[in-house]
Formats: sequence, structure tokens, C-alpha cells
Amino acid sequence: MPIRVSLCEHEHVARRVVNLPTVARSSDRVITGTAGGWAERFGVDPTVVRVALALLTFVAGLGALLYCAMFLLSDAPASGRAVSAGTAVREPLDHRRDYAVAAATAAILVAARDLGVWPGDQIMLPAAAVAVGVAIVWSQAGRADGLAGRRVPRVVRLGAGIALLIAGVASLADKTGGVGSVGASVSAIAIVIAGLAMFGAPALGRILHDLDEERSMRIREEEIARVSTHLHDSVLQSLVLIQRSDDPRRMVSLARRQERELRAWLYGAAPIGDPQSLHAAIEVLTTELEADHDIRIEAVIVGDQPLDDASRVLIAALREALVNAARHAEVDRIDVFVEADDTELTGFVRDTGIGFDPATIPPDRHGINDSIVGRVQRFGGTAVIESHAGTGTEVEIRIPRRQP
Amino acid sequence: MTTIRVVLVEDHALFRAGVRRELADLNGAASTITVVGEAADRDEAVEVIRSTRPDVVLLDVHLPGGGGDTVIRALRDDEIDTRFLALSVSDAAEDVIAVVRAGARGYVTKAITIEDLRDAIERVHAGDAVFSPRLAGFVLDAFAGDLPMPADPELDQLTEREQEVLRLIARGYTYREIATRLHLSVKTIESHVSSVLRKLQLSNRHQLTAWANERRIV
Repeated sequence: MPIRVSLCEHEHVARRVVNLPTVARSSDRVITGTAGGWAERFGVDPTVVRVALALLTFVAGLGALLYCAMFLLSDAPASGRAVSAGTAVREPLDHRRDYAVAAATAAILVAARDLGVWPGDQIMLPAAAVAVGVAIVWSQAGRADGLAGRRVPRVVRLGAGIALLIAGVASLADKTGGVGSVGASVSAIAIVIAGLAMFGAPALGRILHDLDEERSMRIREEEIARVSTHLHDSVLQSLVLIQRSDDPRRMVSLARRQERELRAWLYGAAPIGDPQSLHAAIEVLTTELEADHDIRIEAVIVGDQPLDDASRVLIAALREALVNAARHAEVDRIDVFVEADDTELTGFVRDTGIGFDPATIPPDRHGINDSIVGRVQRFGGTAVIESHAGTGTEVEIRIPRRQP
Repeated sequence: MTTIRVVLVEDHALFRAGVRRELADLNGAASTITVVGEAADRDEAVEVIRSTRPDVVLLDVHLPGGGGDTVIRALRDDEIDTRFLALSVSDAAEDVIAVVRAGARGYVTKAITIEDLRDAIERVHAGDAVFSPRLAGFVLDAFAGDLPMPADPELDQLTEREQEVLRLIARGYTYREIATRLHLSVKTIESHVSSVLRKLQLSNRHQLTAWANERRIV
């Protein structure tokens, strides 16, 4: 099957070519993650790439230009998970490539020196020392098997890196005024501080990064907990009820109520169930009972007043009367009429259902007497239940307004 | 058997289709209700009513292009013998009162059963007023409290009996049930309701005027 083999090879080549230009910037970043991204893509230690770019910047800004080009040729970083899942193209880390990059950088530097594009040995040699020191220290701090590999003990590498850094910083300081006259030399102090910062930067950066990550993780977890609690208490319950319901009307009313609640929660409307006036409280009550009992409640309200004890008693009694009617009257509609004037609150709950003989209240309806009549009487009002078998029931509640 | 010709003015096509079908399904009783036209906005409504001259118009309180009251006003000089019944979900009192004051013979909510709607159409066609519990509540609200100096005591106040009838309507009683309860004839109840309607349309009571003014400004 020679043809098939060659097809496969073509495919393989094609895929490599297509994949070549896609370099995603890295989440492991100092500035934009560009150096990290390219280093990851080609299996080079990111620190080596960064140091090379920094050194080349001294040569007529070549490093900065290269950096810009690499940035433009790269894509925005993939989200952390996607990268670790291995979707991004990347070569395994290989120290030989590190050395290749280092050698190429050195070659360019030497060529630049010959061509005269050179800021001078007294700047470049210490700068190179600092660069190499930084490379050693940073890769030591960042990864166990960084630049120098495992063969060289960590302490030795760290020591060498620090020595190179101190030597570089000291000689740079010497060039700009001398360590001897440090007292007056602002630039020397700046250079020393910069040198110290170079030791601390990787560790400090990692600590800050960890803290940041931990904090955003905690915020995310709290948010998830809050949302899931709310969804469990509201949306999930409604969905369960809707699944158990065979009646399309009930499904619709459940869905409608849930939608209203969810909107209020999402968009921060006034909380449902916290009405301030008698009128609003009755609207809330009837909406709730309509959904819970699959029934239509026609509420007519005349006059209004702020919620007070008298109106709360009225609403509680109305609720009992409505629930009773919804459960026992075998109707699909209940009328509610409430009138608030200066002297009293009046409430009527009427159904045209099966009714009952009040003289022979069924045992399961003794609740009416306590929850409606008793409640209203304790507040100085009256409640009358009028019912006839076959024609329906009407509950009349009258509560006097207390004069202030 | 009389035939009642009806026009549906309502911007929701689905609702129109539902009412049309359900009214057709109910035919065969004392009267036949035929939907002779439909309109979805104010201008279309005026045009359709002019050309079809129906007996009864089912008129949505809110319409694209203007409220239901503007439809009635636009047709005031046409001298057509059409009666209007306002129909809507659950609008603000002032909007409903505005349509009734413009000349609608009653107001029912869309939650009404089709049997009750049919009954209401027949009643409006016969020249009676149709008060849903909600409209009764609105009217009680509008006439609440005694005016210290009513401009026209005959129009600006409801009688005890009228208030009693309105309260019973608000509690969900039908005219027949009210008649039984008050030991009156259904005709007497109808005349009380018509009297209330007349006061609602003609009274210059403070609130009613305020509502009407508000509507005109808007």
C-alpha cells in the first residue's frame, strides 16, 4: 500500500506546517507571557529566552524588536486548564536547545561587537554577568530541574548565580561612579536595589501569584456555594414540581412564578414577599396561592394602607380561607374582595364550590374555627363563615382599625 | 334567534384566534355570535369598525397607536350603533376608567371564562352594563368617601343600594345571585348597574376628572 503510506506522510507534514505558527502566550509570564509562550512552544527554558532578549536589547534595541515581533506572532493565552490538558503544541524541555539559544545570542553579541553596534565592554560585560546570574537564580527558583540540571547541586548553582549578580552589579556601579563614593551616587544605589530586587523577584512574584490565586479561588467557591444554594431552594424545587405535574396550567403557573423569582434575584428587583402595603401583600399572597394550589384567584382591593397589625391579621385569615377553599371547594376560581376604609378592614373570600353545612363541619376542617375565627376575634374582629351544600362558601372577615 | 356581529380589537393575534374559535364553538344557544372583523391597532380598529359596523366591539384597553378610549372617541361622530366592551389583562384603574368614560358599556378581564364572555357580549348588546369584579372595585375606589360639596349630588355620589350592589359584584356574585340575595329582580340589579355606569361616565367627581385629564395630556 505505498500510496496510503505517502498520503499519511503528507498529512503529517501538512499538520506540522499548519501547527507551526500557532504560539499561545504563556500564563507563566513576566510582561505579556510572550517569551514564556515561545519558550514553551520550542522546549526552551523561558528564563534563557528572557535573558537573551534582554541582552540583545543592548545591541541597538534588537531584543526589543524581536520581542515585539514574537508578541505579534503569538495568540492570546489559552485558559490555564486547556494548556495543561495538552491541547497547546509544545516541545518537551531539552537543555540542548537552551545552550543553542545561549550560543546564538553570544554569537550575535560578538558579531555586534565587531560591527561596532556596541555600547562598550565596560557596560556589556557586567550586564552579561548579571544576565547569566539572573538566568541561574531564576531558573533555580522557578523549577528544580532548570537551566543547569540536577548534576550541579542547588547550593552551588545558587552561589554561582549570586556571585555573578553581585560582581555584575558591583562593576556596573563602579562604572557609574564607583562603589567607593556610593554615598553620593544615586544611580549606584538604584543599581544595588535593582540587583537585590533580582534576587527577590521570582520568590516574591510566586508568593503574590499564589496569594492572588488562592483569593480568587476562595471567592469563586463562595460564589458557587451561594448560587447553588439559591438554585436548589428555588429553581430545582420548581423543576421537580413541574416534572410531577400532569396539568399544563399548573406547570405554566409554576414556571411563571419561578421566572419572576429568578428575575428578581438576578436583576436585584425588590424581594418578592416583602410587600409594604396591604394591597401589595394581598397581591403577593394570591400569586403564591395561585401557583401552589393551581387555582385562579380574582382579587379586588378597594383602598389601601401601610401594613400594620390589623392588616397582617386580615391577611393571615384570608390565607387560611383561601387555602381551605382551594383544598376543599372543588372549584377553579376563588373571589377575594378587600376594602380598607377609615374605620375597618373588610375581607371576603368566596367560592361557588361544593359547600358544606357549617353545623356539621367535617372533623378535618376544625382548623377553620381556630385559624380564621379565633385569630380574628382575638384582635377584636369578627369572622363569619356562610356555606350551603351545593352553592359554595363565603368567609367574611371584619377587623376594626385601631385609632391612633 | 339573534345574530350578534362582533369585532375583536386586540394586538395579540393568538388571543384573537383563541377568542374567535371559542366563541364559534359555543354557538347554538339563544344567540349566534359572529366575528366579522379583527384589528390589531388603533387605526386599523377605527377602519374595520367603520366598514363592518358591528353590534359589539371587544376592545383592548391598551393598543399600539393609542388606548381603547381613543378608538371610541374617533368613532363618536360616525353615528354607528356599536357598543363597546373593554377587555384586558389587569390594567391600572385610570386606564380602565378612561375607556369606560369614553363610552364602553363595561369591562371584563381576560381571565374571564368563555361562557361569561359570551354572556357579557349578549348583555352589552342588549344595552346593559357589564361590571366585572375588578371594575366594581375601581368604581368603589373612584367614588370612595363623601364629597363635602358635591357639584352634582345626583351624579357625584353612589346610593347605598348601588354601593351594596357593587360590593357584591366585587365579591364575585353574579347579577342573578345578587338579585336573590337582596330579594330584588335581576332587572332591578341591571338598572342599578346601568345607573352606576352613567354616573361613572358623566360625573365630574374630582378623581374621575383627574383621570380623564391625565389621559388627554398623554
